[in-house]
Amino acid sequence: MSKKIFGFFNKQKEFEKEVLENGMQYSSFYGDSFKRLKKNKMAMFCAAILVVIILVAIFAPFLAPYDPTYQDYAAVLSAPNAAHPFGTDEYGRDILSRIIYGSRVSISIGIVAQVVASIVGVTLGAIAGYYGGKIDSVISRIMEIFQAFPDLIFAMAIMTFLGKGVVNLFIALGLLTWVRTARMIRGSVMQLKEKEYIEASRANGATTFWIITKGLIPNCLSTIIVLVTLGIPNAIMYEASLSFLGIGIQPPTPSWGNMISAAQTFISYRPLYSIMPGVAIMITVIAFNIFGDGLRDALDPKLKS
Amino acid sequence: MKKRFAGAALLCAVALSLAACGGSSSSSSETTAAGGAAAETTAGGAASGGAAAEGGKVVRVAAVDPQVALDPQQYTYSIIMKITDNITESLLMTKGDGSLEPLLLAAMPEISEDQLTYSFELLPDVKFHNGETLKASDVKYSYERLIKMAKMATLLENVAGYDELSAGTADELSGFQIQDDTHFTITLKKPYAPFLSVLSTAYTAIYPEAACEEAGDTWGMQVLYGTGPFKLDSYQTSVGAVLSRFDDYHGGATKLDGVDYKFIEDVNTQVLEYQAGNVDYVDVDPSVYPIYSSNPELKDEMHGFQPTGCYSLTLNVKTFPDAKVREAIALSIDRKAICESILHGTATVPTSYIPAGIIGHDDTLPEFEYNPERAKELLAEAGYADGIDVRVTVNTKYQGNVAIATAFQEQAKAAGIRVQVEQVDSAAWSDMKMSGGVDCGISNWYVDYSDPESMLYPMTKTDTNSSFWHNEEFDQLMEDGIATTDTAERQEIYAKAEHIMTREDWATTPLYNETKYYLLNPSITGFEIDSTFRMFWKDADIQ
Amino acid sequence: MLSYTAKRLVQTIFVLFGISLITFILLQVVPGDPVALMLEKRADPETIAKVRHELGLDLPIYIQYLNFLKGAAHLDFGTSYFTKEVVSEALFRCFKVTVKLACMSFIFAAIIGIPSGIFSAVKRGKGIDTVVMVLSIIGVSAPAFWVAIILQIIFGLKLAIFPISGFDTVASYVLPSIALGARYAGSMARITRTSMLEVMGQDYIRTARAKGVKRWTVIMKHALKNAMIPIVTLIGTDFGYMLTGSMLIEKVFSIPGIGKLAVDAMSNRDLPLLEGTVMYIAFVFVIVNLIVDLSYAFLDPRIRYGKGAA
Repeated sequence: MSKKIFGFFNKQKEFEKEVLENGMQYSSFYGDSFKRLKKNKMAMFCAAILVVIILVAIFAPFLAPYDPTYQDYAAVLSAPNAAHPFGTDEYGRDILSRIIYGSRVSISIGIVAQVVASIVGVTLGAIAGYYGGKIDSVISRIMEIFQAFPDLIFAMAIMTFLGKGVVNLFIALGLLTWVRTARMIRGSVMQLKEKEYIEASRANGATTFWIITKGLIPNCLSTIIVLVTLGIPNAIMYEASLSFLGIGIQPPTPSWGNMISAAQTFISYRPLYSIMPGVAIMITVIAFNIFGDGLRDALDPKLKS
Repeated sequence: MKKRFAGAALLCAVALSLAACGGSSSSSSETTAAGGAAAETTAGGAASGGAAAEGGKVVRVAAVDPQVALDPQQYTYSIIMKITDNITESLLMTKGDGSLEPLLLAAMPEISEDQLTYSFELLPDVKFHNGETLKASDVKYSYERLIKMAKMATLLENVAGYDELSAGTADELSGFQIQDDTHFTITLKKPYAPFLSVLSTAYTAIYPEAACEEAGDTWGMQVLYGTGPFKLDSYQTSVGAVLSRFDDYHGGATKLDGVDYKFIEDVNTQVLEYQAGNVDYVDVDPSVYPIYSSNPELKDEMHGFQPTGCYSLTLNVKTFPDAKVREAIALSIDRKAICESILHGTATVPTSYIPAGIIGHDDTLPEFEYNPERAKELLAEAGYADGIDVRVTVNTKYQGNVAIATAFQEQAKAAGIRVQVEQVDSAAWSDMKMSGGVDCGISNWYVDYSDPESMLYPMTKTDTNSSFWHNEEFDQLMEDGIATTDTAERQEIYAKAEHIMTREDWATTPLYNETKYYLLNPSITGFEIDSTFRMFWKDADIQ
Repeated sequence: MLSYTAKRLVQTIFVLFGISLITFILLQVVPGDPVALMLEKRADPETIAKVRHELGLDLPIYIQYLNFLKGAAHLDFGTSYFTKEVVSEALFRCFKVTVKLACMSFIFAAIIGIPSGIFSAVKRGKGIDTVVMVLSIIGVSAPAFWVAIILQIIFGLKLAIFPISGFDTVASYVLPSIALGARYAGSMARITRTSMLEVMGQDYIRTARAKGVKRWTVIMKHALKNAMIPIVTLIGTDFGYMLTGSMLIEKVFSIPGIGKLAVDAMSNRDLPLLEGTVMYIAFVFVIVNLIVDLSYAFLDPRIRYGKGAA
């Protein structure tokens, strides 16, 4: 039970190593990158899947055949049939509709948690990397503490402390995942601050705030984009795990995580109930991961062999 | 280059050797694995050969890990008594019909005319598991320990000398007088009708004085002696408890060689283990009832019983001071839908809080109804025409309650009640209950002894029920109830008290009366759980 | 190297101190009271006060913390509020179980992950490469507890090959190890492939091939040897994660390991037990990371000598 069991850790470790060793190309070549990305068929296919999933999330009310919280007591735990293609759950709620609505929660949790993680991570990472010295060592120790703290215990404590709710879940997941961003940004900033143009702006009397926000962070943008893309599936997996412990999204809101966890009792009786949300998680996570890989390759041409 | 590779190899070697010790240390138990596998293959739904494969008549019970000492004087979970009821015994025993019979006594105690003095005679030559003989002093010690342990002490609060012992101003329970090793009397401060029932609960089990004192904190963890049919061989939290036959049992040695409680946390895993033939007994959660009732092989292995108690929604009078609001909430629960659909017919809609079979149950009353329109009117009368927000708190330990809350959430919409379900863990739940943080709580209550006092006391004596409701008339009726011995009079008193609580003041509202189900290996005979909800393996056998 | 190690060890102490403090503070601010949980029915204020006193919970908070630190310095975390078991004994008991699970998962992940990564790299772009990469990504994308439940049904109940739960036989660790190891097998396959590809593109490998050395000899003797560095680094870290237990897998399979101990301690607000488990998990994590970093510095000449290899 580590940050990494649920994280797409190794890819990030690779990525981290590559950034630190090779440095990244920071010139503005987003146009070229996009061309490269377009050539990567697998990544583009996954991007298309992600677009579909996001559209499903946005237009859920139009797509879902039923209200996801409507309980039809006459049709509790029904097997898949014409009216309910995936059957109904233990409250007689339509499983298909709940999966469609569940995409909203799972996707937004992934994105918002990563935004929270990025805000905290980028700020602390940039400060640590820029100032170095004592500030760096304090922030680095804090990062180590967060990393070494057993993650699910931390999440349980935070959710118990803040109370259960979507917003608090965003915060908890953000707090669980910011360290990775912070470490990467710290590394990048440490390298960047030695570059001539930063030296030059410093000599010209630019304020530290300006150097960090205008000079350094924009040049880490591609790193941040890749980190966010690869962090989203991580957060989705976390939500599923927390739901399994009963501290995820609260009823009646459907999330793929709480559906799997509710369905586990019925897995041999109504297999689709458990399998479908699991498949939904897998497809989304895979798509984000492959797309994130593609994005990384595209933004960092050095890695292309 | 060489060096690097050597380093890599070294790391691998370390990892592998670690792995190897992991593997070898468990090799001693591999033989049991083979036995277990054999049982699995012959199982096919019913594990006829399962117990025999382990080399004796051992019943394997899937249980929930109590995580604490097996001592009901300290911890009152029913999962503890499921184990200890087979190890320790109380003076008396309550039967399924609520009547009492002597267990460690030669006869039912004699009661003086003023209903204050009870004279007991112990069975001669009853042995504890450590070989000692049961004496009157052990009984005295056990009762004094119960009081000192504080938790369930109030069970004995009507015994003379209770207050002094409890406050620490006395060392002994003065109302307990020993005549000789097998004869003693207990004197009460005032007549207390349910007294003998109290002495049949697991909390009043008799422990051997010397051994219990010597064990100290390890009592119930490493050591637990009683006079029961089985002795505790080992207990390890999160693993299991192993019981074996006590050959010197005063009721004659059991046919079983032992009982093996396996702690399996996950409900789903518990039932899978039963289906695979690896356990002989498992509780069936109502949510999975249809899976087994629709399974032709397992249907006949499922048995039900109705524990004496009730599920209810407790309404905090601090949050909802207006009784009309509380009534509105009570009216916005579709109990019928909950019983029939959510609980798949394993529960019935209650007519009263005091369950059937107990004094005070009024069977002339109608079922509690679902009437969202009336609820809306009541809310409007109370000044909440726009509806109200209600937070229902449930303990995550009891996932079934989450289902009830989720159903209620949807049902209450019709009454204009917006329900928020809040799941909290056990520690937060107990804390919130005491501090008044639970607005609406789903809880269940089973009687400790077959008497309405055991059903109703939490509503008045303490504030641990999360309602914080107090009513003078109710409290007076409770006082009258325990001082009265005439059954017809008591019926009237408790029925009236209940009416005040659930139909006038709406302090708590009954949700359903459940039937609990369990799966039992058909080769096991002589075992049944009745409404007392206690698990006795004494008379069981494996065919 | 020595001074670096010493510095890191000092930092470790700081981190452990920080973790103990955070755990302590969290348990103060999180709602929930172990005493309320202990007493539950029929608890009255006097009884609560009495129990609080017995547990030392009536002392000022900073004194409670100092008392804890004093004990922790001697590796004495006290006894569990609920089971009265000495915390270090409970840790040792659960550690033995977790080590077995970690080793089995690790072996599973390495046996599946590394060879398939090698194959995938050698047969780059071919069908088998795609299959391995798809499988590896599925491995890392499926929630482990979900895989666990499915494995239980298929291999435990329907096929009855392996025990459904438990921890007392080698066989009972098979399903949990697969469920826990699948994710690592996937990531190991990926890193092995990447690392192999990197090495195989290099001049000396091409030279060896050109000299007529057999293909598999080159792959196994030269390429793999060099590709091992990042792999070893990674699996070292992975092993560290496995050693800190997996709460969800342990829950599904009823394995009394460190993860379950930590979750139980948290939900009971069992402070001594929680401090003990959290400190243990953090300690293993930090030490494994230290060893990995040291071995990395030791194994990789670029770090050792400060110049680029190849």
